[in-house]
Amino acid sequence: MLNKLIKYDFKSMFKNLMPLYLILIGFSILIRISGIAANHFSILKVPAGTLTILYIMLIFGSFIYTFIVSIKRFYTNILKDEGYLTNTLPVKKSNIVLSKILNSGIFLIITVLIIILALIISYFPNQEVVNIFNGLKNSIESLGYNFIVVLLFMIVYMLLGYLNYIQIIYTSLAFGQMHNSNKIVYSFVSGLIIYTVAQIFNLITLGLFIVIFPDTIDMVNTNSVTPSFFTQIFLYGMILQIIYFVAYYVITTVVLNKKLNLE
Amino acid sequence: MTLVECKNLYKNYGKREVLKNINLKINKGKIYGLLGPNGSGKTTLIKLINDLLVPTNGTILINGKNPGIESKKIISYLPERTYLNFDMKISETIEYFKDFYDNFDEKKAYELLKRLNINKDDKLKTMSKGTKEKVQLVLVMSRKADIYILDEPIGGVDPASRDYILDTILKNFNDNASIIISTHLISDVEKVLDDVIFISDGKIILNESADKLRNERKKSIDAIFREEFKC
Repeated sequence: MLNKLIKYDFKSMFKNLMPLYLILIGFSILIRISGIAANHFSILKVPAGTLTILYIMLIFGSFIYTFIVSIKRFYTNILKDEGYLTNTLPVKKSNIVLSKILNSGIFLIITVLIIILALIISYFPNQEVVNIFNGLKNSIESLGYNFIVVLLFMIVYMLLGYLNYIQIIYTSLAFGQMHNSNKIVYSFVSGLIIYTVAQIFNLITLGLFIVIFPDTIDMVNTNSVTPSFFTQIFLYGMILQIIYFVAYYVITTVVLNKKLNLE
Repeated sequence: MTLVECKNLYKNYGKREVLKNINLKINKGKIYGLLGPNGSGKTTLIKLINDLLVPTNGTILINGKNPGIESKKIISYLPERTYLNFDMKISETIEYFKDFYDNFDEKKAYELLKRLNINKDDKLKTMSKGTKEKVQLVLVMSRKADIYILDEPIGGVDPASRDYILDTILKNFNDNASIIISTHLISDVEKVLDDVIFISDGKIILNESADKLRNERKKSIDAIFREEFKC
């Protein structure tokens, strides 16, 4: 049943995000044309510059919009009128929630890919980007790491980090709906509490990390960080993200299972 | 055989008691009218049976089990609001029901839609409230369920269509199934009811066979309702 849930969440979110993707591609073509035109007619440099600023805002906005669509899907499909159908389907709540989380990840990846495509359309070929990329690759390899492994690690880490922000809101909304009035206010308060608890947990685990690896403070103070230290800190961060991912997921599912309150 | 059983069921919203000690049995093969004025607790009871709310106290058993995946397979529920995604076409909603409910009869759904002159390629957002209700009723009645729970199934439908819809409901459930119809439009549904359950202020005040009630009081259920709930 999970695959069917994923299919319908995907379709619905795609309908919401498709216009954004079309705008991004359309805008990237406009940027390309304006760049060429500004090279030929210097009077066009100012409007081309304005367009670039709008383009940057659009790219940042795309991430925010993708985030909002992910939240909206959870809220409308589980906690508002559509929830009367979703919550009476013969499927596990854990799958309903998981489908939303997975689709949030899928659409973040699609948004990033569309942005990369848009940037390629607008600016390719661009030697500066290649130089930055190569510089990054060389410095990572000089530390003795495989660039591809580090890149994949960073992508997974950032994806998990993003999904955990999404999940904080899912969990907050799940707590908020338990109340009979002011559900959004309670969701907001729950979000603040969850965030604070997570920060305290971060501090505690960081303390534990320092106890386990006492060299940490020395290395940071003397700026003599070793590659093995990087590995430790990366793994520490990743384990923490996985713990949060599982914790938010379990809490949201349990609340929706035991305390659903579709008044 | 008992399909649904509520035992000492209570539901509070905050400090407000919405259901108070409900004890109820829904048996196989009968049509029940769950009747009561606005705010009497009808919808709350229905939501509890459908696992959309959690009881404050007491238990609900459906085929002997607590509400959950198994009960959702055998209950076909029509809520009092539109629960479909408005961006979907009718054909997509049929696909959706087919995907999730093993007992959904696609052919029957298309037949019913055709008879109601509803185009399968129309999007829900372009439809009137009454047409949306008809679509939902078609979807719900196209399942071969054991229990149909219909919350205000004819509330938004014009009086001319009501008889047709009630007829659709009656023709499309098998003898082993039960129907619970919640409504305050009693005169429209009274002729189809086997049993009536009057609910007032969160309590069941009457649970009786419709025929017996009519014979005893020499009045229609509608008249009895008006008498019981006189303001």
